[in-house]
Amino acid sequence: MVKFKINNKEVQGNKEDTIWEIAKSNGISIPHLCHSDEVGYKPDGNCRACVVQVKGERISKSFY
Amino acid sequence: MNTINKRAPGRRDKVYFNKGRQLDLSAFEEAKKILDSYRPFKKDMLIEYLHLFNDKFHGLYAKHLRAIAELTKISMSEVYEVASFYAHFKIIDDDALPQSEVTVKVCDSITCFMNKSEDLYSQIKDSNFNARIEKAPCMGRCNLAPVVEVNHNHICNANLEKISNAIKTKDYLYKNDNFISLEDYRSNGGYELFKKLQEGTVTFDQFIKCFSESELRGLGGAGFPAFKKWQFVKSYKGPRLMCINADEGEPGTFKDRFYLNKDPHRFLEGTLIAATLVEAQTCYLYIRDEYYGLIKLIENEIKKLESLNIISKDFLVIRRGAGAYICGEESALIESIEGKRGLPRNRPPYVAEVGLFGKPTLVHNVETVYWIREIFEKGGKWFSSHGRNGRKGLRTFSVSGNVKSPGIKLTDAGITINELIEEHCGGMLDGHKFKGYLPGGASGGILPASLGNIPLDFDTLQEYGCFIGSAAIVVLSDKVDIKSIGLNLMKFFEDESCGQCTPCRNGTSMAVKLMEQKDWDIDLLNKLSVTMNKASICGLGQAAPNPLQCIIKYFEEDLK
Repeated sequence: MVKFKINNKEVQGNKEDTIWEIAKSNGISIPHLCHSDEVGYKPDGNCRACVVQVKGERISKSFY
Repeated sequence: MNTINKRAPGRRDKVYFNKGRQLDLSAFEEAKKILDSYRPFKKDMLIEYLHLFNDKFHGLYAKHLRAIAELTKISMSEVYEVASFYAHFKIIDDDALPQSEVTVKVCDSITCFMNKSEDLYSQIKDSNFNARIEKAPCMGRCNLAPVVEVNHNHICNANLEKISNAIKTKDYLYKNDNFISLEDYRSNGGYELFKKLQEGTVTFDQFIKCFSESELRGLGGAGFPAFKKWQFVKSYKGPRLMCINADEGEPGTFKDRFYLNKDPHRFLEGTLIAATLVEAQTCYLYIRDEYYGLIKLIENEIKKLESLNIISKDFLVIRRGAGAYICGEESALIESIEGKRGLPRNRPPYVAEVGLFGKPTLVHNVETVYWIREIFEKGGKWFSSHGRNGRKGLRTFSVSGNVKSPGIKLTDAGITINELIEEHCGGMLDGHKFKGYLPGGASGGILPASLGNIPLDFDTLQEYGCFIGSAAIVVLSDKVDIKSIGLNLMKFFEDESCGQCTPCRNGTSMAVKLMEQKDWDIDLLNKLSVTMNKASICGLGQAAPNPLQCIIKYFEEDLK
């Protein structure tokens, strides 16, 4: 289990989950285009609508 | 569509036909003949197969694509997807269309553009050659711009007369310069170091020590220390693989072509040493298709090595690129070797851990391995003893543009552009005044003459929004229109964007539209640049706004 804050709201989820999934299961919707819950629409991380800044890295990472 | 002359049962007068694109039997026989020696078919060889057809028929006919899919059991959509991704594959939808034997490609990248390649292109268009005429990106001979390719023949300082001569005399071959032969290389102690490493008289640790002293960094552009790469790759569980990146596509760069041609065995020995260091099982040499003659040359030299038992058969495998700039990005290169479209991967995992075919992979640029033998023989300190202005090492600059003697300049890392022009390039062309320069090809940004005293090396240009990359220097004079240079570079990125991620695919084409306007919308361009730089997957999209940003920052006068 991991715990962290999104928009000042305490959230938690499994370690294997992505930030996006944890946000969703906690009722926070993050815009996205590249995937859907349906079969065959796995997250590719190429629409880049959701990105995170990783501390110490120059470039943002997609957080699918 | 094949119809069968029979009515279908049912109420409507339907005719039987098979759905989808049908197999053309004569094309299938042709394909069988061509591909027969390649059995069993492998998916990662798809690009090689396509090359065979593209060479033979001067294009890829739809019927052949269908036949390849049938033979190799790769799905039709995948064959088409790969074939249409690469610029050198010319797909011909209409099977009845006759072949066009000659293709004339006019380079429209930065230095050729400065040397009026646009005018040359329209002249060629007007002169009714019996040939396919196209624009193409950098061909790696920028010191002799403008360059035109007639099939594989590179015509330097091209003009109409030279081109029509080449077509008349059917002179389509790529011409290599003289190179150091295997005999000469071996008589000079060649392959001794490789032998010693195999026998264990020199060890991995000795190499690490030597190369950490030498501070040799990856010379493809990213500048990652070579010895650290070896340590990383070796730390992951084998089997491991190695790739050589000879897909030198950065406009303005021609150092790899120079080294491959000049001393192919020094390059090959370096490759073998690096492969042995990380205990790679196979090493793939990915060489760009523009250097067709070099591919043949290297292939020939590898055969000689195999016949002398210096290497085992199929240890070094050549893969031919197909005209995609993006395949110079290491993960895109790996995808391309796997026979797919060259789409860069999301990281992590890094290729040192999960690379080619999912194995830990060492990827080196040509020049990096070229230095290995010399540095080990002369000692790491020898290499790092060079350099000026507080920087260390040697750097190979590919200089082109408005200088008297452009070309390959091997000199100290950290040299400034002013020193480089004066000491190595014979000064500016007569009547030209130094106005600015590109320190690292298309993606490295543009700096003004007033910043002509910055040491040129990795890490020194970041604060100015630039980077040295592959050390491709293009010198611009006051006769050059900076705005058109910016537009040319952005058009290049638009063409070469792989289309995978949105910020790069849409960002580059939007930037082109904005930059085509007379007055630039600076605010919007700035916002666009930030998005592209922060959110693109790979270096292409991240670096594409560099020249644009530099123009806004340093060349305000030219925007008015």
